[in-house]
Amino acid sequence: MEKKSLPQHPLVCLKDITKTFLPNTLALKKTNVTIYPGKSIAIIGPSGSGKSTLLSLLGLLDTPTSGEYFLDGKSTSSLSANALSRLRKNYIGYIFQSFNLINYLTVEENILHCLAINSITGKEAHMRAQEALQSVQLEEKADAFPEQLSGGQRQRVAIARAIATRPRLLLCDEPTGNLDTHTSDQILSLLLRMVSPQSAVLIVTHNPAIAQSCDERIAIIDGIVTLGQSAEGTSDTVITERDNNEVSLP
Amino acid sequence: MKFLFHEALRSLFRRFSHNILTLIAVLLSAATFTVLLGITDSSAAQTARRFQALETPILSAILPADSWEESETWIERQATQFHHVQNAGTFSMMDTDSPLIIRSSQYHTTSSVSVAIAGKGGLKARGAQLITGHLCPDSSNELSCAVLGQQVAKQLGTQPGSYIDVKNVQMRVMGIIHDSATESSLAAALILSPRTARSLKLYPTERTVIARVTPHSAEIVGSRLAQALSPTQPENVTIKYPANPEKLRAQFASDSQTLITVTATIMAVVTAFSIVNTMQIAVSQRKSEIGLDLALGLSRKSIAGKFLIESTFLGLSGSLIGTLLGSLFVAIVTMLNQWPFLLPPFIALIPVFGLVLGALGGVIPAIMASRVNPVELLHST
Ligand SMILES: Nc1ncnc2c1ncn2[C@@H]1O[C@H](COP(=O)(O)OP(=O)(O)O)[C@@H](O)[C@H]1O
Ligand SMILES: [Mg+2]
Repeated sequence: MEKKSLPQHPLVCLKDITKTFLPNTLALKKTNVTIYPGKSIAIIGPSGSGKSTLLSLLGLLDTPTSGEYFLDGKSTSSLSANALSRLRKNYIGYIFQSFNLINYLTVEENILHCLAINSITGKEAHMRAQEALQSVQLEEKADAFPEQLSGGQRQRVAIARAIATRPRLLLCDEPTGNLDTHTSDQILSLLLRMVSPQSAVLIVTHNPAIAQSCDERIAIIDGIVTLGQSAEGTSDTVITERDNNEVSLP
Repeated sequence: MKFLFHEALRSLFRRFSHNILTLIAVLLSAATFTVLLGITDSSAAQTARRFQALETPILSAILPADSWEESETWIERQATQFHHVQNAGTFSMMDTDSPLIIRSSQYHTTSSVSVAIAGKGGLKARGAQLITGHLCPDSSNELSCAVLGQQVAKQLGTQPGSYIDVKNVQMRVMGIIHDSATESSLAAALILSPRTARSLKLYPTERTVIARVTPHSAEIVGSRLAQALSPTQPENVTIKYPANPEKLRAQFASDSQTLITVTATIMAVVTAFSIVNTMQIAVSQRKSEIGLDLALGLSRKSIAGKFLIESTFLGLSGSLIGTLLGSLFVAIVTMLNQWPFLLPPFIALIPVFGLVLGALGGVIPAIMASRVNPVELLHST
């Protein structure tokens, strides 16, 4: 599928995505987002602006009210629940603000559990778990339980768990929301290092410095994408603002 | 599937502190039920055993009036032809509300007596013991022979060889007896042979023949005794059986059936609720785990399956351990009381019930688990 030569086709393409919640919350309005592999993208915006909603749509945890989502060039609308869960398995990794580690499993078992759902078991799974723990420098905590770890360590385990399945699209929703500044910096720079030529990382963050060090930024206010920059000067506008959105710009 | 089993069992064991109370509840229910069944059966068997020790394996055959025509010798021969019969013979008591006054010819003492018409075999079958003297012969032409119960002999002050007046007929006292260990009515009785009774016109309408049989053979003998004693009209003979210990035990068991059924139903409901409750708590405590599994691509069916396996295993393991502990308890109690140790085979089904209860109790929580919305993962803090 992948061609080494440029230009690559986009990994993610959202076309006119709208998401409304009953009874009358318009969480995302006519959103257009294009993400290329090999990029890190920061999503910024005030609380309640629709960042998590965008992430849940990108992660196929929820479906848009209207618009079309192409993942790796294929439309995801009108896919069955099973097909969607297959896509989630094959493409997507998640990191959450509250870590969501399973507290009765050890660090290594948390990672193996995730791999097992992806049908990776046995030697291969152990190898991958070791590798992932090495890359977050937690090899020596493999047999610890989450309760025995600090917040930063827990989030590193969550990162190890997410990258062990080698997702093409790593979605991080305020991954440092529960962590102190120093630990946050470590976690975020760790996340940025997870970008490979085939994969993209999206990070919802409030940290301007981190947002600045990402390749691209998406700013959302009140469900409207207001800003999309291309840090490396990649010609395409990643984000297109719709005309009808302009009225609500601050 | 194997993956789900592994996951379910692991979370059951790892979350042991969350499951232990329900495990104990299931265990106690199963144990109580086992003990209830075991103790009921064992104590019923013990009661039956006690009863058996007291029981006299004596059959009675009630013959119509014309049977008095038959000689006692013939009656005894007919009744003892079966090898399960140890002794048999006529043993009929006259109605006690028409007592008879007899008088010692020598001392002129009197005694109010009941009248028993009995052959030698009948007295032996009853278990009456001769104290002194002899029993009257069945076939002799000597019609003035009588045997006295020990109380009567004492009242009259007579000994074997002395004479008494019965309905103005002088009779010779042949022997003195006391009744069997479990009976006493012969002590106050005048015992006459059937021939003598006939000549004195002192006999009831029906002729009762009793037969002492070897244990457990009452049914077999009973089924043939009527034919033997009245070959032409066996349907006119009524056979009375001693109480059957086996039947007695079955009776006890069925008497306690209702109690057991009610108790079992209550325990099943309580256990099911306990399982439902635990599993519901498990689901709400593990929403983030479920959401994560869904996000990672585990199907909703598998999620439901995982929780269903957990609850099923909880029901099975609890009831299995409970049944074993309950059986052990019954064994100890019966051993201490020296009762027979009996467990109805039905208790082998208790773990099966536990399994079914676990599965049923897990259905609603499993459905709840499969309906968790993974989007919540993003909003949870
Ligand atoms: N499941 C939901 N049901 C109803 N409203 C929702 C739901 N999820 C989010 N919203 C609403 O959508 C808007 C965007 O929410 P969200 O994407 O979580 O914002 P952010 O992550 O930027 O803080 C908010 O007004 C929120 O109340
Ligand atoms: Mg959010």
